[in-house]
Amino acid sequence: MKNIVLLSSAHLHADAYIHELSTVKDARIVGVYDNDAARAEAAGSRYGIPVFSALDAALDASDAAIICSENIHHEMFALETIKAGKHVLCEKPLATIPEAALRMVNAADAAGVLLMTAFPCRFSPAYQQFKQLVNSGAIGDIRALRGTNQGMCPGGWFVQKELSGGGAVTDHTVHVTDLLRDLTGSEVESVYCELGNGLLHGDFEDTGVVTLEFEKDVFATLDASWSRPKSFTTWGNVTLYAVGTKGTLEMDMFNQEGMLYSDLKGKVGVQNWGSSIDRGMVAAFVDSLLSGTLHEKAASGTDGLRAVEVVEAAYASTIALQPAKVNHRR
Amino acid sequence: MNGPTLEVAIIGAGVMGQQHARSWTHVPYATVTTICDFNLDAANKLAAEFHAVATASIESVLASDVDVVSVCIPTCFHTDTAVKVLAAGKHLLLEKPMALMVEDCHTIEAAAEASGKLLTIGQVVRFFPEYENAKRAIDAGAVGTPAVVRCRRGGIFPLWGTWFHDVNKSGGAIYDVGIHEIDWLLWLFGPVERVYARSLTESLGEDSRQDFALVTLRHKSGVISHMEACWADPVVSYNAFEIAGDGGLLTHDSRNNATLFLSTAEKQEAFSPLADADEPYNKQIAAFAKSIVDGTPLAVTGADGRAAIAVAAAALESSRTRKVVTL
Repeated sequence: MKNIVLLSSAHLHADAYIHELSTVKDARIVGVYDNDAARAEAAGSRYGIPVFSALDAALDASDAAIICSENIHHEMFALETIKAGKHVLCEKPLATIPEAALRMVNAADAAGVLLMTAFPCRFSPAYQQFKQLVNSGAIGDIRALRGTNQGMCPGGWFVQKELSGGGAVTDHTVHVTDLLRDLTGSEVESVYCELGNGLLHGDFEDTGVVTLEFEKDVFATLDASWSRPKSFTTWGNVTLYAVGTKGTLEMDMFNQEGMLYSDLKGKVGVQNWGSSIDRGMVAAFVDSLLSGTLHEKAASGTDGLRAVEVVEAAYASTIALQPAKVNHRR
Repeated sequence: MNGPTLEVAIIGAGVMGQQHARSWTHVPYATVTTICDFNLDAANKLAAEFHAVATASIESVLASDVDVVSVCIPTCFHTDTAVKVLAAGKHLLLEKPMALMVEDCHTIEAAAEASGKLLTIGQVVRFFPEYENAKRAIDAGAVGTPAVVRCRRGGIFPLWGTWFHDVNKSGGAIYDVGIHEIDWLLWLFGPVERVYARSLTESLGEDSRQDFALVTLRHKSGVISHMEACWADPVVSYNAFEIAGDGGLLTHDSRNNATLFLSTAEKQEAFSPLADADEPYNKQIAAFAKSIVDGTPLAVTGADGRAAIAVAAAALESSRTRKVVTL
């Protein structure tokens, strides 16, 4: 039995991770610690789990931690966990800057503990089949890709750069970037991004259209905009379209849904009935803890770092107004 | 006969020439009198449909009494033919894309200016009800101030053409398909400041049958547009757009717009029919005819056609150099 502690519930994904953890054998949640005591209490009562008042006590009681803090605190929580010799599943983006992500990766390597990045889209059955179809040669060789991860603006700390590191580009570039790296088996060489704040007019970007050039002869664009209005039917999407030499393949990851037109709520909404992508990811984390090696489908700390490097290059391109080379750390 | 009359010639009896000829017949005061194609069989076949004269000679069209000419020939021949038609004193409906180079567009515009005849470009998407509706809605503030736009068009390579695959004749998918989106984006969101594009056009060499392009435009207004032009799908063609602003989101996807769906053992087919008066090519030609006879301002000018070519050229250059091109 593996004991897992939740370090902060600032990120709303914590709800899903805790829920899915309760469905996995051989692991249990031992409690929550948060740098915000009130939030810790709220999470404790919401999930019905103990609240730790000190980080070292929380880590002493655990084999591993799931970090769902504000982005800026990922590094501190991860380094403390690694120092205690415990394994880490960290919410994306792994860090707000590549240097911080690199410190996390190096610390985990030196300590011999697992560092996994929370990229649950890898565990989507639609993506798994997408990858399998591509690898089987169903559409020939991939020449170009087009992705979206559009959503509603999550608000709160996500739009406070000192806590998030950035707006929509920080929040939504990394998922599709990770899928594209996983799919092509290739690193991103250069990035161009157009971004703006024309949707919410804040001091953070809420739109971002990113073009990626891969080391392999493939290009892609991805739309990271928070361009789903409050009146939209659902939170957003993850889509991927591949153009191959023999055909095309299109994915709409969360399209398994029915519509609910509710007079009771005065709202039109969707009811998604697809498989939980979080369940697969949490189960893979627990598998990794049991086997001592990272699950084959899981995203490593280095995968998390590579996505943060792409975000860095995206921002750099908006200053230079030309594509920016991705600086791959070693 | 009282009221205006227009005699019409069609140069180029291919798919678009046939479309234009049929749409001209919906203009009550217009008569298609001449069909011209260097392939006389094709000219004869289409001419028979309208009891028109068939010819393989452009010169005979220029020397005839026709008032207006629809030019529907490969893009690489647009400039020479357009200049001749205008110089002969005919009004000109020139199929899109206007030309392969901005300089050629200037030449065509100058010919129109010198002749005093009207020049319009077949940017027909402006007449498609869903795209026209978006223009009306955006201008009326339906999504507030627009911020980020996505649009795409295409799918199957135009197998009916004998020249589309030759990038030197057609310009590839950006010019032939993407030009619709470019024109529409300029119409809705104004001039473009810079372009970054990636396409398969260059890597495919001279055979652009599987062309595919992803283009990001930054408009002077601040709007970001992402546009996709596709010739790379073996079966499915569709068009779609979405416009997100600070007050809402407007979306369209032609795959969701069928009002009829036929399914038999032999085939499955979806239809989205419109009344004749709402059919986009009919509307395009009706609007041009009206401009000719009563001076109504042109819906699409030569300058509009040239603006779209400037963006297409910038996109192709960006894709080739992998640099942002500032207009």
